[in-house]
Amino acid sequence: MRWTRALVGGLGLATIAAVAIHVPYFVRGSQGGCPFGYTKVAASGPVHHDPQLRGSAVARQRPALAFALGATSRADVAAYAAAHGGGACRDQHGELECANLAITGGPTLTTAWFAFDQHGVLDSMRTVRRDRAVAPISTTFANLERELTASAGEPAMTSGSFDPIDLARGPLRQAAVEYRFTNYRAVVRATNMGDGYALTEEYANLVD
Amino acid sequence: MSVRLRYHVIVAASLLGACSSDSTPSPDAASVGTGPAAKLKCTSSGKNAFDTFGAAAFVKVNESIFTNVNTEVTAHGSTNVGDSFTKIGTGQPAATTDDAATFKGRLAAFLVYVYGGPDAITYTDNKMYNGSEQDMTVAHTGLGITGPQYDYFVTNIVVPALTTNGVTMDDISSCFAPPLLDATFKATIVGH
Repeated sequence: MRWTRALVGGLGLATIAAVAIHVPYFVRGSQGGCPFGYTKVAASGPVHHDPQLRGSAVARQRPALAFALGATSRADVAAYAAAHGGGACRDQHGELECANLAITGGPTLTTAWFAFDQHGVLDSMRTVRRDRAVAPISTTFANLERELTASAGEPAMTSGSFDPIDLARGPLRQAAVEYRFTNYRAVVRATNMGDGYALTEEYANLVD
Repeated sequence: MSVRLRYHVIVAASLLGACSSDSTPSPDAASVGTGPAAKLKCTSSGKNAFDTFGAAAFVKVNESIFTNVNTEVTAHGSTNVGDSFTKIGTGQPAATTDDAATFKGRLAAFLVYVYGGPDAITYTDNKMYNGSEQDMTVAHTGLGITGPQYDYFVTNIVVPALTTNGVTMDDISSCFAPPLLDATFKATIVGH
């Protein structure tokens, strides 16, 4: 189908372009600036250490599911994966990608990506969970928001509704909550994917 | 094959107010769309996405996509958006040979075309880009994009790009989501 081919090309272009366009400036250490004005990224360290992505208060705690930002090692993650159904993780460009990790209190992590700092401890992690039913995703989102607020502090921003009725209203309906502190950032999103629901999470250590 | 309709949408970078009526294209422009989502009607307007939001909004969403990916790549590396970054500058796949401005213009042209705009646009760099003739299937071969990466891209890059520019959840569901979540489309992107 003509339109399918076009879509394929288009999203591929979107993905490739969006990634490609910036990589030379950050990954390859180009001397030039980002053509889109994103040159304020810290000279060292990831962008989530950029002051613009920080909040003004200190997080009381920095939850990251079963892991500890600034403490969990690559070996710890691998051991956790082995003990919780994830099997072997694989290295991807210096980061660790693990699949099917069981987590207490919610659906299994379909995939999790772990980034480590120069000391070899967890700097940030991102996860995707998938479920065909809305209830597990909605409930987990609600629980995470409650737990993050209780342990870290109030969120910086929220959007959408995680009510299962609202999420189920249509594809790409999304609820999101973001936490920004001086030492911690977390983002949780619950999204209707048309053929099921996705919960994505990000936890980042902002301590330089 | 449809008749190639070439319509110049000159979008200035200074255009603001993505969802304002000022950005709504003329009635003539509304008739040119032949893309896959040209017939999808947004809940808010009963018209397709391009006719509803206009060129300025598409520029802003395009900008937001790049902003979000910039944050993603620099904050967390490549793992959430595929490993295509390692191929930058190699020309393998061919799309990686394009410079930044060209990528941006081509993406904008594609989005405009898919969602009911003209086949081709003149972007903010005053260059023309065709959205309807882009066939990048080959470009995915060897990239190894996974299902979770795709999900992550859609949920953390695309949807926020729309919502931060004022697109409502109703309109995202009705006139933006179907092409992105098309199973055939996803299957072609993932696993190659």
